[in-house]
Amino acid sequence: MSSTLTSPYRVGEGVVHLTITVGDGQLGTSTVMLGTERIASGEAIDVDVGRGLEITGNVLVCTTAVTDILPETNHTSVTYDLTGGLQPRKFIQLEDIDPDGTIVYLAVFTFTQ
Amino acid sequence: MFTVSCVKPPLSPARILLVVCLSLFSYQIAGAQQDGIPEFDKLRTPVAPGFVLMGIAPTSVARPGAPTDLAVAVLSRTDNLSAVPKNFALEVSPYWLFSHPELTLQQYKNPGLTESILHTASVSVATSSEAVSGAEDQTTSLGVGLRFSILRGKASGKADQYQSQVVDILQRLSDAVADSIAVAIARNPQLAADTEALDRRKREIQHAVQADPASSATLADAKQELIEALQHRQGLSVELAGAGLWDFKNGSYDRRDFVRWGVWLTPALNFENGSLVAVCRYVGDDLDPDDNLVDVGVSAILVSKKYAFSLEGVARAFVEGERDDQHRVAFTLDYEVGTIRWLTVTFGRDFDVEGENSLIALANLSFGFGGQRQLDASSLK
Repeated sequence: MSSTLTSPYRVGEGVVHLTITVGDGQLGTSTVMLGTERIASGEAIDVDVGRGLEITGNVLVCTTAVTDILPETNHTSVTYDLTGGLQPRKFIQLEDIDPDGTIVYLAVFTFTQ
Repeated sequence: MFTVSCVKPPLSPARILLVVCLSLFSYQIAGAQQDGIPEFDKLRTPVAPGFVLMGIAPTSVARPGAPTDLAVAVLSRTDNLSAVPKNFALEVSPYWLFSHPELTLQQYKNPGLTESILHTASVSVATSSEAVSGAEDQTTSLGVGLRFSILRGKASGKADQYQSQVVDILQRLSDAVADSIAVAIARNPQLAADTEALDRRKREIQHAVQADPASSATLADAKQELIEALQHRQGLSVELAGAGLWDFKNGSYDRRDFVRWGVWLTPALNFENGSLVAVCRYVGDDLDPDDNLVDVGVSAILVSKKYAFSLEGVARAFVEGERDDQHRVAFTLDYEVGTIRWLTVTFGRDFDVEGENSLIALANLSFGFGGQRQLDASSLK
């Protein structure tokens, strides 16, 4: 079940920043929701989520649809980099999928103090 | 020489007779030329040089995609590394055995020197055993080859166009899942920490979105175009390969002979509608140095909607001994003609060792009934 993850993220006073990278040379695109508001979407996610105090208690939902386009491999991966909190965190999700298959990765982060 | 290919029924009896006669004539000529200089495409850097040097085309090749697959393939065929496998073929790309979360599609499309070598390096290993007639000895041959590209060129401009189409479809899928999950968590905040429940819901939504046959077909079509555009690279590419062949008497490591080795170099300049390709191959034979030879060739291809031209030349020189050099030149034209669709004509000159057939003209006339042209985009790769 490594294509779905949930994790708390401890914020401070700074601005929390999120980047999402689709790896293994595959093609993918993401959607980022803070609560029920969409704050970013597209192939490359590099977005300020908000100041720590303002987003405490909120939930960040990140989905990334990845499809296999390389004949060399069926590996797929998505990397989430969260910075601006008490500590930077990196989350990596890996899955081997069927040739020419498509997978949706889901990461749900809950901002805590 | 005349050949007829890709015959699509129904054909009239007269046309069938013509096809059969021309095919038989083609077969006779082809048979007479089997000992001649190889065709240009057969000299290009091979995908699996380890197999080529052995002169085999194994029907069953293990192509592991993960370290565990590689371990299983090797251990099972070598009896846990205690024996040399008798008939075994393995082709593996070490880089792609492992996941690379840091590798983006953009980097894959435009690799540097190091990335190009890493992405394209592949190792081919094959063994073949045969009993020597009238003797108790059995010889096991082992071929090992390495292939890689130091330059790959860049993905064609069409790749970006097809990539946008695929991204649009994927974005709808990603948005649908994100919207649904976000709403569900808003209604039930406890769900934000329930990984299993979230995973189930995610899969349900993905399944529902992908159940639309029209959407699936559109994605599949766009992906296929993208994959082809990514593989059909343009600009300068340089492929390199090397391979060695050993013989082991009765499978004994101590009774081994280094038999043959070869190196290949294929630089190419690929365009949207054409290519200029050179090949250079050296094959050394340690048992019979008179067979040491160098092959050099050049090919130019130009493709349009209605026609395609190809001009190629190949020369062979024997490094030792007194055998004469050989060379061949050939010109091929593909032209779209009415119901026959593609008419292919090849003219050439094939100069053999003795020089007796130096004026033989090689003409290859192909009627492509319902078939594909011989020179198409794949010829450019």
